[in-house]
Amino acid sequence: MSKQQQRGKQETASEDRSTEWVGERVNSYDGSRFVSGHGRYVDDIQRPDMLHAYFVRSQFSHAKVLDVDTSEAEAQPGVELVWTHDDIADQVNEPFGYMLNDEEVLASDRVTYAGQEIAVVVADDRDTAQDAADLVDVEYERLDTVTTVEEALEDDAPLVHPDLDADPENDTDGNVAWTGQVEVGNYEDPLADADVVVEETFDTNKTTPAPMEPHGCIADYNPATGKVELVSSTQMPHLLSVELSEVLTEFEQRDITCKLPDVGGGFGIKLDPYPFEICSVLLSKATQRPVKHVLDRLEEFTAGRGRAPETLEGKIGVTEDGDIVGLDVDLLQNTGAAAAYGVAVAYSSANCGQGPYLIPNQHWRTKVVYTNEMPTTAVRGFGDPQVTFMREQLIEMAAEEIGMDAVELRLQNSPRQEDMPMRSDAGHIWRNADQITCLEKTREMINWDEHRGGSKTRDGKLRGVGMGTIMKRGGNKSASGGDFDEAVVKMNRHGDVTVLTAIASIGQGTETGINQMVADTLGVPIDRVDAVRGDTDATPEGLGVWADRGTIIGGSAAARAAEELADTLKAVAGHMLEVDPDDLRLEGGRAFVADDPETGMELDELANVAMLGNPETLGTEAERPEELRGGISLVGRGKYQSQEVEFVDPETGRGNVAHSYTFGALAIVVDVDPGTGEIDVVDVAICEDVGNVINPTLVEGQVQGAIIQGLGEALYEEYVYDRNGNLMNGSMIDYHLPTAADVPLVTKIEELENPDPTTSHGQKGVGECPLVPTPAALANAVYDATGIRFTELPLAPHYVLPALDEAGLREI
Amino acid sequence: MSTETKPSERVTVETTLNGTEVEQTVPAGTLLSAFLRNHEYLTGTHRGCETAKCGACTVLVDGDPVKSCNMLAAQVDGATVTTVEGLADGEDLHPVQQAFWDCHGSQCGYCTPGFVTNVVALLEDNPDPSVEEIRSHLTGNICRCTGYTKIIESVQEAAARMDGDGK
Amino acid sequence: MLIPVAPQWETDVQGLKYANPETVEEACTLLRDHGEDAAILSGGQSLLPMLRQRVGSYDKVIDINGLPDLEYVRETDGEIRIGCLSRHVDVASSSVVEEHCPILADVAAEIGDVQVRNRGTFCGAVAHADPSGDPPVVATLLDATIVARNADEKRTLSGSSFYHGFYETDLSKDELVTEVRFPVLSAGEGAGFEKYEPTEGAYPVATVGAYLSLADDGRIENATLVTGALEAGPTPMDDAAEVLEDREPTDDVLTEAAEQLGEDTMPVDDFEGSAAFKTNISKKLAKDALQTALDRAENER
Ligand SMILES: Cc1cc2nc3c(=O)[nH]c(=O)nc-3n(C[C@H](O)[C@H](O)[C@H](O)COP(=O)(O)OP(=O)(O)OC[C@H]3O[C@@H](n4cnc5c(N)ncnc54)[C@H](O)[C@@H]3O)c2cc1C
Ligand code: FES
Ligand code: FES
Repeated sequence: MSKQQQRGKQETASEDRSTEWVGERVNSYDGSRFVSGHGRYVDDIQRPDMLHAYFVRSQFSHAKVLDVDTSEAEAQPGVELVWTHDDIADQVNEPFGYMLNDEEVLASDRVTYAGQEIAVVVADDRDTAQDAADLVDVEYERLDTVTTVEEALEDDAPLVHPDLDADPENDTDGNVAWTGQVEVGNYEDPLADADVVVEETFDTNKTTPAPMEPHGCIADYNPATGKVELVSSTQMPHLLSVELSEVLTEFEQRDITCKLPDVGGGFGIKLDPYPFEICSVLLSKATQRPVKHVLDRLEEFTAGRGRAPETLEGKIGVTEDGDIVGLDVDLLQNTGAAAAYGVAVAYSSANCGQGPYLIPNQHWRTKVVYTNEMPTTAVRGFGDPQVTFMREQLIEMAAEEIGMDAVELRLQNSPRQEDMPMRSDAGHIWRNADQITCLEKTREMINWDEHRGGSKTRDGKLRGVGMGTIMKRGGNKSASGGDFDEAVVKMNRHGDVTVLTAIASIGQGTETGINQMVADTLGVPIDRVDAVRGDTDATPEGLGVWADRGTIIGGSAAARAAEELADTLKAVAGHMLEVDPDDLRLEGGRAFVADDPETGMELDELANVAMLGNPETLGTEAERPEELRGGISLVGRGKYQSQEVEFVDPETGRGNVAHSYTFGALAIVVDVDPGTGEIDVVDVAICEDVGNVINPTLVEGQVQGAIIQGLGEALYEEYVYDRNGNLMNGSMIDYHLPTAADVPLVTKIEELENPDPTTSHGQKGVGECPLVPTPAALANAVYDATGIRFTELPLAPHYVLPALDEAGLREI
Repeated sequence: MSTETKPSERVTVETTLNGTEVEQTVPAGTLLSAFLRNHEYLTGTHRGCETAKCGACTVLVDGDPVKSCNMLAAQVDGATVTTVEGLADGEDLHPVQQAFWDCHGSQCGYCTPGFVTNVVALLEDNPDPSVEEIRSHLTGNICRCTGYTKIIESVQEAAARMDGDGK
Repeated sequence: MLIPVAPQWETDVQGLKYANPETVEEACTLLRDHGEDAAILSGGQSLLPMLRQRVGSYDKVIDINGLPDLEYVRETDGEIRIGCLSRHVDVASSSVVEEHCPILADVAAEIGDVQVRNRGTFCGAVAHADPSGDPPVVATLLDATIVARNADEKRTLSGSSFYHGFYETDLSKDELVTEVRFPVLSAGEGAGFEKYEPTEGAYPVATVGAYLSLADDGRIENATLVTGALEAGPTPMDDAAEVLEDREPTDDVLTEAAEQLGEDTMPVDDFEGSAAFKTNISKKLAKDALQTALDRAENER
């Protein structure tokens, strides 16, 4: 990756800060533990006297629960408790939910998807609990099932949540959980100025990001304090304690300590407060013993949540000269049996659906619809991959229609860096991003002009190229009330540094970047910096990792905390060296006069002197400068509160939904096998404007991982339900995840470094972005290769081959 | 030659585990992965699926990579078992481990022990594998974080550092 | 393929009993005594998943891995003999196989992944009769000889008539397969195998094996085509094979046979694809397998 100094680059680093670590390929903080097998994930943790929970889950997607007979299970040796809804009803506020209150912890009288929790067994060991769970006898009365949005919207459709529909306080209307819109410009007739209108309906797929580590937790209640410690594989420890305290009637936020173990991937589905976490807390309280529950992979597939499939009926209007004038979209989201983050996914899909373009007239109508399938929630990219699948195909269709190159059309309608900061048509505040160069670079790296138009390879494959674009939110506050993070950076008497951050580690490497920023600010070697993450007792408040916010918000907070500590260190050093602290520089483990490096002292010694604060070394307090009296604290505090992010206007759907936005473009070259319908991705190129890169290796890792995750979803993955709402492919054998032999190496990565002036080091969001354009670019490339427009995901051979056959392209 | 053999509910497993002789009597249905994790407290061997697919539980049995969730502990009686914890030489990481760290072949780390053990075996057989050989050797290991590029680079880096001498 | 409707997976196989006989006789005695509820554990790559799902009624396993002298791949009397403790990896890398019957290596090298091939046995796969298993397809295609023993006798079974649908074979519960023999393919003979797997290492959704022998004048003398994974087990496609017989092996003729195979196969719709898709892809596999068979037959002449 080359570092590009782009026009408009602003100096954000304070001038006296060392630049030894930021921007370097520092090895990941946790890596040495992980490669040697010394990670510590939930299931690796044992507590004395620990019990194990196992859930009885619904076998049916929609049924009345007439009776739950737990007697046989309770009689098993080793079984402590078997609970049904009645046993917890007075300890929980129900219904609960992240954005809409539509979930029960254990089903009371109705189940709404296969896999839903009905009862829980807790026993001495997992196998005993599992065997006893088998003996719980549930009597069901089957109800009619709705699995598709069309079915769910029919007049006489069975209702997934009749009680919510009947509740006048609740917005649920039939099976529609939520309705929203985005109105921009002449929204009543957004295509009025168009010479050409292109329209198509697109359907995206339900998937799971399938983190390799399943969900799991250990709850450990202390009867003396009435507090519970919850070690959970989560992305947001602090918010989890907030969320859980809202569900659990007898626990306040202060009573719930959430701690992070190592987390084996999250990708969004480790955000919601889950029934297993709630039950584990209550079971630990009831038994006064630690309780563990780790989902097995089948439970992950049926109840671990995933990406919401969306149906997007879109129309795009362009002029003959290639100006995009309007976008008109109906978006239906199949949210499953509970909305979880679905509402936010839907409104942010619509709010950001315009992508990195200037589109003056837009009308989006959005419905979140309940069905009898596993709830969906946040997944890497949130709703952007879905809308991008539509928008970028409509754009290539429109380009073809008016006889213009698809990249040219994009270039013509993209915002200019020199016009920034600016408000986009839908209300985003766009700062310092160079989308033009992103598009041009991507075109160049992928050899667009050479491939475009489709060709046949020597071995008979159909080759083509396609593109997709990125305009991805970083940070958000609709669900959390604000977007902020706090951090503490402290130093011990030996000069070792510890960062306390609310940021969670789920493999994305945020802590490594944070450590680099802190190390530079304090001028210490990176291996002297440790990170304590996501522990609601030990770390200050913050919101966790989602929406690409970790390095932007959490990183900026930690940088501020380090600045405060650096000021203290300089004050002490200035006093001892009898120089002006402002003339000092911290670097290489020393504090020294910037213009006279000989005059200085070791940080270790400095830390020791400051920590002890003795008059023998520092003089009496009266002899010291003001800030060194009354105790010298080697604790720096920092907080970052986004002042940019807005709540979107509920009427118009407009507003600056995020703190910042990452722009970019991605292109793919495919070979389609006319005999089998298999798609071979032969080349991928991406250019993004990610702001200043804190660690190129980590950025590349995120980019590569996100693209391949996107390719998996676009090429292979999908939840397949039968008519009765039973998942047909709920295992890694049958749900096909890509292996190393299925996907290309991703090496054409170009990062533009136009800094965001609002963040500590000019950084922007990175981790989710590259997934966003991948399915769209793939479908566009397949169109270029075959002339067939695939409007449904995934583009698996069993969909592609029949289409090739129909088009007369199949060969054997 | 004993004709006494009867199916029994408990088995005694004697194995050389990471260079140490161990002997444990466990229920016959104990999976090797459970034996390692629950009886030997070697939690670096992970469980990622129940279907012998993901490879997070990969260990070396007599030097060959196998999925330890798809074997009984009883089957390693008399065998040599190496888990990810057994690869390092004291504080010094095995070159494959070091390369995975240096090349960022591990993000969340959950799949990593399975990859590392499998790659150690690959490089013993084939000290200088091509990209294609690496990719096809690793189809029994799933990683959800890295997208595999840096895993493949880690393998190449390890191969280069080990310089054909297998260690 | 997984057995559908698996309610749960055990982390351990509870209540399992284990025996590891040291001789074939002992193993056979155990099978006689416990046959109905005992399973042979060879590679375990199919058995363990079954036990963990509690599929089948087994509560005992008889681990045959300690039996002596059963790990070999060798050529004897015009046959390739594979001992029941030879792993897929052994078959894939055998020079004897490469020389005399390369289709076996094609098959073995593509089964599952490295870890599976290191444990799974070729004979175990032949015996197990997974409908999407690959070794059963070649055992049928090349009419392998399956050598089975019980406590009383040893007998040989014919691969071309061994399979009877879903996990059903001619073996009885007390029999141990000790060896499977494949013919050495001589000059003018060739065989090819192709499969479609959704991702690398996944169980196949469709497979086709093809065998051809050429007459001196270059015409096709005998032809056999067998599909796998598409129906309940290996399925001979006689009409498609008939298309080939006594014909010039031109591209058109191969295509005609492949099309015929597609028309005749009777797959079902499932989450891996519609019947129509499977039909179409089987045509492509058949064509490629025939082409390989032909190339090999011509090269060996
Ligand atoms: C992830 C994964 C992917 C796979 N992919 C494929 C694939 O693509 N293609 C494919 O063909 N297979 C595949 N398999 C299955 C693999 O080939 C197995 O090795 C094979 O099916 C069974 O052989 P085994 O030695 O492991 O038998 P075991 O699992 O030990 O036994 C299976 C059954 O066969 C019986 N049996 C075993 N050996 C004998 C014997 N000698 N005599 C009599 N009965 C016996 C047992 O009693 C048992 O019922 C895959 C397996 C896994 C886990
Ligand atoms: S846990 Fe063993 S292969 Fe997944
Ligand atoms: S590093 Fe997370 S699954 Fe591989």
